[in-house]
Amino acid sequence: MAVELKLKINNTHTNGLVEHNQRICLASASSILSYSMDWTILDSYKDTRKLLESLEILQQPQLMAILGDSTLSLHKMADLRDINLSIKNVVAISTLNSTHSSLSAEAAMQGRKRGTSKRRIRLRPIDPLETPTPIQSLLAVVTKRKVSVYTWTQDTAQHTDIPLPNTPKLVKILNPYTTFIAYSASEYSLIQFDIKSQSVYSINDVILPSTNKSSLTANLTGFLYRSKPLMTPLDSEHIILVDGTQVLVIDQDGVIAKSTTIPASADDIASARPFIYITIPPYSNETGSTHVYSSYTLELVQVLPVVCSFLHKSSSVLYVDAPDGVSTIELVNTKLLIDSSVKQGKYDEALALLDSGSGIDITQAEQAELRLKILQLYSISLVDAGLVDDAIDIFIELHTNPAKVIALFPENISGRLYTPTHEWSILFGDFAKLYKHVDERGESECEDAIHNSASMSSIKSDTDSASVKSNGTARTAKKEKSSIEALLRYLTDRRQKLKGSMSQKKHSACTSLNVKLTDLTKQQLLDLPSSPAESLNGSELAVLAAVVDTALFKAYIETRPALVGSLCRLENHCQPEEVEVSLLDRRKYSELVSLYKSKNMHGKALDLLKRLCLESESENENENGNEESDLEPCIAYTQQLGREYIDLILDKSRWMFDVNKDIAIQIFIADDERVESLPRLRVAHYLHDIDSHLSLRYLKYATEEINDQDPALHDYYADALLQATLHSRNTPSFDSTYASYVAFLSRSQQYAPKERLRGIPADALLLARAILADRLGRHDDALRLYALDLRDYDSAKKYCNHVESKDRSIYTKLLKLYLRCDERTAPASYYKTSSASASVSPSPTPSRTPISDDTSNPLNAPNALYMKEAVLLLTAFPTKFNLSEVLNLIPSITTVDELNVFLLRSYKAIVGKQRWNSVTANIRKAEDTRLAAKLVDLESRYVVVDDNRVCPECLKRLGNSVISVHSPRGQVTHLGCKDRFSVKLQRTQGYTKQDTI
Amino acid sequence: MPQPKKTVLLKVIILGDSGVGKTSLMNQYVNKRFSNQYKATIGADFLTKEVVVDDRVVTIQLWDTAGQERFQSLGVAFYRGADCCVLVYDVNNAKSFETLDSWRDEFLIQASPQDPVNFPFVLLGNKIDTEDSKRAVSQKKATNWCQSKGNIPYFETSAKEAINVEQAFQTIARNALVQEAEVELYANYPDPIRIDQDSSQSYGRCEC
Repeated sequence: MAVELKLKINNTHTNGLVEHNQRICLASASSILSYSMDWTILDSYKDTRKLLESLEILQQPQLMAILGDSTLSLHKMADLRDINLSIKNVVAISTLNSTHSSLSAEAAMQGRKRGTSKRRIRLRPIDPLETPTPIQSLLAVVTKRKVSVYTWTQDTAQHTDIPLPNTPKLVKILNPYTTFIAYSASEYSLIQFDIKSQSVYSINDVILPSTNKSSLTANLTGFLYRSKPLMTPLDSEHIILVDGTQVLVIDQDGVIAKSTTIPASADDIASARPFIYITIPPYSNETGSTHVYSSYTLELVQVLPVVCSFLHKSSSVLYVDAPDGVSTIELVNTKLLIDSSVKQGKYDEALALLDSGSGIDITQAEQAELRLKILQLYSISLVDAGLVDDAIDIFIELHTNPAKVIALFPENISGRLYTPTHEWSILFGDFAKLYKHVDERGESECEDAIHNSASMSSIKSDTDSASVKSNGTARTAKKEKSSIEALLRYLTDRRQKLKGSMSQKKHSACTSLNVKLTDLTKQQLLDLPSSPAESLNGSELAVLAAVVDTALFKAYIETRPALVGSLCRLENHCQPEEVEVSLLDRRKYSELVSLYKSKNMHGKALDLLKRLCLESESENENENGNEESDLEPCIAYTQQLGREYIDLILDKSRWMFDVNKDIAIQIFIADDERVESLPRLRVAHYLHDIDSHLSLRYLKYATEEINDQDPALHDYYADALLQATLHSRNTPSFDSTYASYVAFLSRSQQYAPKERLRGIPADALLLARAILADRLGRHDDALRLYALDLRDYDSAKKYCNHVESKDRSIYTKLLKLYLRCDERTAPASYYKTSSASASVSPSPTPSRTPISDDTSNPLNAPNALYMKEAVLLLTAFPTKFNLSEVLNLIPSITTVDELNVFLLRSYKAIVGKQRWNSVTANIRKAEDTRLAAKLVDLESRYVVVDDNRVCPECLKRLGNSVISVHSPRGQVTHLGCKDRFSVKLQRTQGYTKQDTI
Repeated sequence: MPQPKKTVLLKVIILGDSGVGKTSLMNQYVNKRFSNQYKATIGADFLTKEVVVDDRVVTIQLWDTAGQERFQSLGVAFYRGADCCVLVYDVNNAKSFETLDSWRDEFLIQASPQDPVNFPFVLLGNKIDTEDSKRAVSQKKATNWCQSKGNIPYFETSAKEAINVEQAFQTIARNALVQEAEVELYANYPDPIRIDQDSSQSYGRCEC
């Protein structure tokens, strides 16, 4: 026995009853009686209508809908006398108080869109402590050829009229987006509303099995059975309707999910999970009865020998109007029912029984535990039956340890975790032993089990069952595929949850890299806790992430090879040891490289790339003798490693230089932040070991293009260039090498010139020496190198121009070089003397330099070439010289003609300078005068002498005596005190009168 | 009575770094409005718009997502069943371009589409209304990236000035519609009948 009829009020009959807020309202003739839950009368309200037919509650607006005498009125719950709205000529009404959020609406819409209305299992009983979600109340009212739908949400109330070709007899709201209407016992339609706007809707007919017959018969049968259509919502997505002797469960898209036959046409129908109640009036020679069907299997559970009409379904009981009076139908022996359901493998029914909450004498904790156990059994049974999608929903809800879930899947995905079907029960603990795999049952039982699971699941589509008959293997393949699809959903979901938790806990960095699944036994993995990701500790998270990602990887390899790359590229916790073999087997090298990269196993990645490159090279060679191999991937990979992997880069890139130096150099020369971050000196040394030209090329790039300013690197480059120059002496490449050396020396400011100079052999590379001497501040040396050793007079002039700001006598020095120089003067000897003078400071008086002494000797006359240069110099820059000094220097044999231009211009310059001096002197004088006048102006002051003013010197009143005013502050003293005060004043101001004058 | 043609609902997901203008693009397209104020999206929200694509009326459901990592708590259910994924970056922000790869990979993983190689993506380079000197990602670079990912359509847009927004979303709708049709095909495609294996069993043979 599953249910029991309990009489509540004797001999009272009613059409309308509602239970709300611990109160029961009952419509009795024209009044409404309020009862408390123990049926003591509390209140009553008398309506004007003669007979009240039905009562409904609208929770959101707190209204009670009362239908009576074809008039619907909405009354305030607090005071029923307050009427909000009244509608006449009402045929039928239906209400719904739903907590659908927009996201679940989206889910519902998706289900509708895909044409697969997914069965949703309510996994958790509603928690009373949970924050209440906003309730939406709907009311559908059928009037003449019209259905009006009223919607109340938290802050809005709206209403839509839907005109219809005919007047329906019955209306039922299934969910906020679906309403069913019935015109007759065989004509049902459904109205589907848009999620966002109720004014957008579509009306479709529900195609019933009986409509396949000719319409006449259909109408006739409808007429013969009864004229009253019957329907009642089963859950938020299914509605039950009665078509003749057929009971049909219809989903929200109007598709028949399952059906059963009842012995005769029904009179009334109601559903209260887990049962459907159908009243069957007396027929042929049977007495009337109420049939109780399981809402899951549509199996007949019990027959109550009374005819009753159903009034109202509350959370735990169903109110009925039985022949003896108002009664309730309550569940009894629920625990037994649950146990038997579990034994029969009807787990969803068992769960619904458990959730109905009545007739069970166990504590809440026990109930929760039982739920968990049944759910686990249920999930295993679903996996076994191939309904992995539903099972996954449960696993996600229960936070089942992913290792356990993965263990249920074939070995190619679960790997080491694989558990054969007959051992599944062990995975989930003792209770799970109740679950018996199909194979273990007898043949006949097996049939039953398949039947059960098939009927349990509305998912099994027609095509599926068709394929069962035709092609068994295809079915298995399809089943396997769909189960892996479901697993993908599970794994990606887990992956995201675990990732979220890990990033919150910041453990990922330290633990994820160290996790090695091979260190843990299968049992250890299976024993990990089944709890939400947030409550796991860091190491557990890391292990689970590794388990999930590795399984995800294997599932991708099986079903979506294209996604393997995506997974490898992202941050992942795949176990490289487990994964790399399968990637290698499938020749998915680029994915493997990505994996190594994401795991920072760059050494392995580079080795693999090398292998691939060399393989392709040898293949190419075999095919068309083309030795070109593609270094590109290796180079690109090496380029993105960056500074911290410099050892690895240097270690692993050597072979690429052996293959092709010019391409391989790009490892170090690329417009990339990471490439530029490499330690350049080390790279230069490394390249030098391979080929000094590569090193030079790199150094040129480093100093010129990326403008490195490291002195050590510049020193190294200078020395390398010097070596290259010296090596290339007497070869054609000498000029270009030397040119680049010189160019670098003149460009760079970062090298140490002294050391560089020391490195140059004594008599070689004069231009380089000149530059270095200049850098050392030895201008005389540099000048001498230009003018005498190199005989590059233009450069010498340019150099003078360049150095003039630092050494004003530089032109004179050049002149002296020209004038006193002859072939006999050894450069080395000169070098010594002038370097000594340069290191002190450039001497302002040239006559004291050793050079001038020599030139005074007429024997030491310069040769003609130098003389000519000296005259050119004097002519070009006459103002740079001191005329008398030049005249002293010039050898006596020089003709005035030669010096004509110089003398003239020099004289002009002197005269000009004198004039300029006289102008400035006069300007200064004028300025002096102006300032003196200003001073007088500033010093003259007005002073006021009154009776109270005293002389600061003698401290007597000034009165009418002669006074003296002292600047700059205007103190006033007697004339007689003037001198003494002035002295005092000057002393304090720190100067004497003489100074001012 | 024949089953009426179902209205087509296209689910489009917009992804990209925080602050690249995902919400703005969506608002510009659906509401023709733009605001200079930045307000981080939390979780996800969707807007719908009816458009005509190739003479068919379709409803685009645009899912705007949170670019900021701390708001990315959406489950995989959010990504699943998508018909097109729109990747958005800011042309003035090189980093937002560099992360495109991982957005794409992450989407593919989460959504696990049937045919990942041909899943329709569309790339939008937003904020082209700013001056040229600020631009950090060249059109060529973006086009190259698109080519390397299997010729993803690319549009340079400005949500602020409403440049190219309409055109971009039209392409998005069209590509999503193609994808949707393919999904339907997959879903309704019965198991192949092996002619070579058991044709005789299935159909019998005429004995005459």
